[in-house]
Amino acid sequence: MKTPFVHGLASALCTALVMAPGLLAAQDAVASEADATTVAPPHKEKNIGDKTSNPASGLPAGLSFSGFGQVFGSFDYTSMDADNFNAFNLRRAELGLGMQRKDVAGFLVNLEAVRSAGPRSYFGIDNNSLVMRVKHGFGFYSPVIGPGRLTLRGGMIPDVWVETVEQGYDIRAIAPIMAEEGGLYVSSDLGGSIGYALWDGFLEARVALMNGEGRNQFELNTGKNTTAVLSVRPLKFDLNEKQATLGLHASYRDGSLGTSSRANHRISAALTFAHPRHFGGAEFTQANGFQGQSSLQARGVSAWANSAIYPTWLGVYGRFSRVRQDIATEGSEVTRIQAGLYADLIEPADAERSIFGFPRLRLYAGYARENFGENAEAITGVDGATDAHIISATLSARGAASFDAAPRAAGSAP
Amino acid sequence: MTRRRALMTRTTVSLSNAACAISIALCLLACSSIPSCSNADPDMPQDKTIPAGIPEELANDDRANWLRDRNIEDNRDLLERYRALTEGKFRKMAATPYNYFRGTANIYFRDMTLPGFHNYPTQFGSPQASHILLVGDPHPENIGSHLDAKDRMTIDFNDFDGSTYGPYHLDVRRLALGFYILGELNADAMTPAQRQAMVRGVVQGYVDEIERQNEDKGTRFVYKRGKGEREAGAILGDLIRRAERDGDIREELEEYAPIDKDGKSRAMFYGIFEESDIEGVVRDQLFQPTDEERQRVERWMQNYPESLVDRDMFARGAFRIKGISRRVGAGVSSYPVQRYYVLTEGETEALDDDLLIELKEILDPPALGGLPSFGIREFSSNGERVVRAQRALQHNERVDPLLGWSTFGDAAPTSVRVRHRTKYQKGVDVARITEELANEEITPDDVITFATRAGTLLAASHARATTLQGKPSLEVITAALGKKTAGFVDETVAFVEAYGPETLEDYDRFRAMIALHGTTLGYRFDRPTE
Repeated sequence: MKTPFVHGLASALCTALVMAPGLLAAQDAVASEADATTVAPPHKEKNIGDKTSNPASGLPAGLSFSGFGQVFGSFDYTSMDADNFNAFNLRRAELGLGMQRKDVAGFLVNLEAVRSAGPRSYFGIDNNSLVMRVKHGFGFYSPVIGPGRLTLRGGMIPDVWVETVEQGYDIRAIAPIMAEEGGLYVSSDLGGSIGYALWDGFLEARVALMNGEGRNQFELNTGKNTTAVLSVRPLKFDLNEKQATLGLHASYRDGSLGTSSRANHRISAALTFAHPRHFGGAEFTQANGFQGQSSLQARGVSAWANSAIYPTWLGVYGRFSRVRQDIATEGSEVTRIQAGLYADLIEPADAERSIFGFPRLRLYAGYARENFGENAEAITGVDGATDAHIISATLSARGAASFDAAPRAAGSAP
Repeated sequence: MTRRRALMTRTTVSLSNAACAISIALCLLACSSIPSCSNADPDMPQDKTIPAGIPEELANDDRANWLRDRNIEDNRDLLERYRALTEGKFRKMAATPYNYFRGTANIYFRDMTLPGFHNYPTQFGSPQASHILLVGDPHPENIGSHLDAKDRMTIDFNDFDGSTYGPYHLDVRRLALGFYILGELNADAMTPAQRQAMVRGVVQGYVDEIERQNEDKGTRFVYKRGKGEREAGAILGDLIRRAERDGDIREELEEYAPIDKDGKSRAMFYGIFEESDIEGVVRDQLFQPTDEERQRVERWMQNYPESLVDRDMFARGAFRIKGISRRVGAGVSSYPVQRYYVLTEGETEALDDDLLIELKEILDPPALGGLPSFGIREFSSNGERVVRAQRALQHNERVDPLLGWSTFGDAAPTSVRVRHRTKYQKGVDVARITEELANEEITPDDVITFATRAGTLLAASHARATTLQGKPSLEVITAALGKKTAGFVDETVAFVEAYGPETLEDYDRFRAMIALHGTTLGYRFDRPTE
């Protein structure tokens, strides 16, 4: 049973943190049911905005504040031909804070931890400390217009493609989606986006205009990346008394990278299936221009599935991805196969989607195999120099707190 | 009724706004999908001309633009911190193919490890042999003389700024490539067969030395005083002769910290020591340090003695600072970084045993993209990295007893390598080889002998160290080479003959980029620079 707090945070965070147009569409009168491939609170929260003011706080009615945190901690044992290694790792640590007014407008700042020494650097802040940086930081405005909801965002915004695919991806603690893992997309950048979701999210279009250098770099050229994503969710049905949704997504990006504006275009497609207990999907991306080389073409495919066979106690997951870094060169592919089990130590209160369902405490135990083709090795010709077997235990924890102008319980959860 | 009308009006306005926004978005998308409308891959600037002799297609092909971006990325921190000096570095790189080669070790390592333009696989690698302690940037001008703690002259590599763990064959290829460039610069004095023999000599010298090391008959590049000139070959022998001559008279002190007219003290020299023949580039100039620089150097010098291999070799007051100057002009890749000369007291208060010490800022080594490197960050700073690598790869830890490192700063400390600034330490000079070849003071065979000894020296260096996993590098390299070492020689020569001309083409591309985009390569600065 949900507490008022959970209702509040679901409402506030799902709008302020997820901010998917589909979500926003799902929360108005036009779209009353949650869209499984986007996010929506399972129970509508009616008290936001019901009052005109909050005498206790003096804040205007409908104004809410929310915060959330998320951590993926793991222990990984890696076996390679040259070396074995084991280490505790912090794959993700995020802390977000948002404010919104009546589900229509607001802003969000989301910080993430990163190692201070980049891939090219041996030493960063105080050797190689984990430091916090801005992952997302943007304002949004999402009025209901006509048969759907328009959403505008500006600032450090999520990449529209990564965000779209992640809505059907429940094992982010195990690996990023292939598009991000393979270096084909970065998950946020400076820019603006516009989206419009129609008919309960049946059709959704989004266009983003971004710098194109990613969140760890300022703009280096005058060109902007233009990304368009079209989503169709033709099938919705009940499964085990919960709604399941099938989504089809396609995207095109015209991009440029670096001072000399190297071509960095992408064509992507994905199929996603989402249900509170079962997730699955496949994605494809063709890169025309890769790693700063206009003439380099890369291609990636991936498929994944996870299912809570015995809810709370036992789930299984599997994932496959292959990125061919140079389609003109045989053996330039990097293949990853992952499989394992999981248990929800705290049952997800709202787990329609991977990242922003709250709260969650999930433990994964799994195996990963990374295989580099002969010409994808860091040292070409040296078979096995970078291949790895990895056994991991991963803890995925997230929690949130929120309060708004209307009096209600506030608190936190893991 | 009025409310409804107002609502309708608002809705109409909102709808028209939304339609407008969507129209703009669709226009952007439509525009970007037309190749000529895409903002990627712009044409070459029409108002600039490229230097004569460089084909236009080289100036704006994909490789040229990739090189431009990579050179900016590799030097971004230097551009932001020391703009004028970094522009000087680019000018210096554009001056000769050898300078370009010296300034682009990062490009070489990217080419060796990333997909795209080049793919030169090796048949002589292994996962274990991918974690050898490397010199990082071995090339003819990084070979030099030292006077060790036992008063013997040694020949060793002398620049370990790029030292890291990686595949041994990348060091061998880099060294052979350096000799290829040297050969192309001396095409008038050396036949193609001689030039190829020189490159082959590097690799043959390497594999022969690995074999000798396995038989405990390794080559020693250690020479009693006065013997090196005859025993080390024409080029290295001449280097030792000049090093002994200039080192014995403490020439470095006379040049950079001469005795005052009163004869009772030394004063740092400030001014132009040697004029440059490249516009916008300093060859050798000494500057008075600012107060901030002086404080920084003093902090570095406080910490430095702890890093000495044998602190007890020196008197307690040996490192008392008597003078500081900032040196500009040395190196190619490291041309912009902070470099200071520090005059210290030495063993006694007498002027003739004063020490001249060099502090040089050390940056990150080239990245070996994709190569796993568990534990590779075992060092506390880049200064420590290069010093520990130098001690492991040179003949012994006391080749330079004053070698050490120091770190200063709170959150993001800057580290320096500290060494003895003495004329006993002299490096090979490619321009000198060119001059001596042209004047027939040395022969092509002398250069081939030098190349072979350079390969020998690299093998001896590799063989001394252990891998990242702690195994003897000699054992691991021997296993990777196998019995068919001639195949490794052929493979490496074939690589150099393919990649060497590409490097020369890259040099032309680089010169074209400088002409088209200026000496910042068109980099857009994030903030004002000094």
